[in-house]
Amino acid sequence: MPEFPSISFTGDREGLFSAQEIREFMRAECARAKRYRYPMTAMRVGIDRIDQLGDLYGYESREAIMREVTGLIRRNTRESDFLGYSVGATFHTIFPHTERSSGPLLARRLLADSAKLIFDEGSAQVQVTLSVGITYRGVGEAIDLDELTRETGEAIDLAMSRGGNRFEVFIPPDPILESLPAVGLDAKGLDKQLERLLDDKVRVFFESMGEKMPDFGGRDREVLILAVQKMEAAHQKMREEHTLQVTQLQHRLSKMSDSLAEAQGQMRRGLASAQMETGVASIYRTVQGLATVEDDLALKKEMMAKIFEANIELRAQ
Amino acid sequence: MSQDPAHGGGAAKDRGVLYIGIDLGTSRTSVAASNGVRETLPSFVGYPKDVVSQKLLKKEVLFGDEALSKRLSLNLFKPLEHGVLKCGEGGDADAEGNARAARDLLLEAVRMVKPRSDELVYAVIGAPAQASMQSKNAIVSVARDAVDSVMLCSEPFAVAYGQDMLEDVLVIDIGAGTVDLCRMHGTMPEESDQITLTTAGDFVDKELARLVGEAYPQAQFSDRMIKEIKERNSTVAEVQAPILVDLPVEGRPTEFDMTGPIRAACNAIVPPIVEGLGQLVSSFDPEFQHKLKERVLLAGGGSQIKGLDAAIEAEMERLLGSGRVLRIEEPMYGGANGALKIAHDMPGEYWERLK
Repeated sequence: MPEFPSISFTGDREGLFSAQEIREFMRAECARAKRYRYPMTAMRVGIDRIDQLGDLYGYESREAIMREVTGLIRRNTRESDFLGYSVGATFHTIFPHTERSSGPLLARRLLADSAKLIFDEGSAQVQVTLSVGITYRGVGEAIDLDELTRETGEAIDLAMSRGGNRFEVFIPPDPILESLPAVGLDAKGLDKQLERLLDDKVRVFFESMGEKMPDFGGRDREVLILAVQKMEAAHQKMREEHTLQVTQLQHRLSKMSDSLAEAQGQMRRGLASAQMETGVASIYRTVQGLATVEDDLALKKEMMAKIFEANIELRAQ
Repeated sequence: MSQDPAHGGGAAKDRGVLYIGIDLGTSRTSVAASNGVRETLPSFVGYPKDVVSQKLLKKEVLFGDEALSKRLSLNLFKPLEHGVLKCGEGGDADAEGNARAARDLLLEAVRMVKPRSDELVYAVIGAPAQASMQSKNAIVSVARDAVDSVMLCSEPFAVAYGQDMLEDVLVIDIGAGTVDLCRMHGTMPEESDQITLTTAGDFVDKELARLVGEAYPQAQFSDRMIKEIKERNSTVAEVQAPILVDLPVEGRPTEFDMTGPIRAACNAIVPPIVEGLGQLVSSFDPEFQHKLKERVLLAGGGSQIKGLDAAIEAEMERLLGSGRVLRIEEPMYGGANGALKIAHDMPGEYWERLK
């Protein structure tokens, strides 16, 4: 972690930047992130009810808690991260090269470790909890320090307002919803507003494809309507194909069911015919397993022997 | 087909062996083999009358339908009569020719089932129930030239065995030369269990020829023509449309109604058959007589006469009080199929001892 000499806080808080210093570093880091195109996560960590604790147990206890939390944050951050704190006992941190998912992970770790921070204050034991606000900037996104500060502030306020001992990630407002005026828009005005929004969406779409939006000659609406109609037609066609497939499958199932019933019927008839005289004697009853040949085995052996004896006798004469 | 490895059966027994069942009939010879081949041919063998005929026919011997169609150029033999070889008992001038014809017929029957050159051929041949020892020996004698090992068995027994109907069954096997009746009662049938009648297919032919001659004296016909008419139209049942057949009258084809003569000729075999059945039933254990009458198996080429099963049932009802007749599924191959089954079920050691 970069050392900074001009730490102006009283007490043992070496290694932490002041609010002003951290702002300068953050501003410089924001400029770097923008220039070298890397992601950044900003976080604000606050100690829940720290002022009340100070009032209750005294200034020294408050400072001790602040030191312990500083150590906790330091243990959970990298050397390359920037750690400072601002007035109001909230810590500002920025994490260069940190993806969106890493902020919540770090916040969870901090919350988990803070649960182990228990201060013995004479007759009472004080449990410290934290609130964390997080915001994020992806590669190529506009980074403004004041925006980051505001966003982490809003996020930590939300965490605290929800009871503390939690983290919140700043969610940017939906530009579409934001752009809609709350009141005083008639149907025609709303229509125009939606047209403009759709126009923006189409432009973003083309830009994401690496293309400039073509000039539709002022017929954007018709083009969009046509596109929607085409999509609906394609969707309808797909739905019809699916319906056809389902119908075919139902028919096949029905046919298989019929075949099964027929096979079962044949088996029943076959079993019944084993006991039934048809008026025709067939050697194929044996082949079909309908004759009880095994029962006659001993008898057949005896008959074979007698035929053989008769033939021997015939030869002898 | 059932197999019993403990009794010499099983796959090892069958390796390199082709089993065949032969129904050596007066009219037709049918053969069924364990390789799945089944064939049938009329029991006729013809030899060219002279060198000219032989040159024309390009064959030394002809069989079946081909022999019949070229019969004017051939010395034609029908080596069996009443189910036995003519050479066996008659001792007439043609005995040598019939023996040769029988041998050639069996050789042809074996050839038709296409045995591999390395296969042993074991055959069971069905013989009339009451054939004499001499005629049986004659069959064995000629068959030994055609196959590696041969056994004879009673023809109606083979039919019943093929159907796995071994107990409480009366078998009627109607051939051209004989009608064999056999009583199956869970053991090998003995002499007293079998009756052989000569009122068979050939008898029907003669009867039909007599009736046609009496009804239509102007009509000209041969035995062969009568046989064809019978085979095409045989029935004992009531028919909706008359059976009309063209026969020459002084060289001109003329239509005759054969319904009456055909029904009468075919019906002529029913009383002797039922009478024979009656003998077999009445000499059986009274406790099981009813069971026997309820399982009458009708087989042989003659079983193809339309309505014969119902006619026999009706006659049994009249004479014996009741009767139920089952027709065999494949009349042409009933005997051969049964003989094949016997051949297959016969333990290998028996075959070896009869080589």
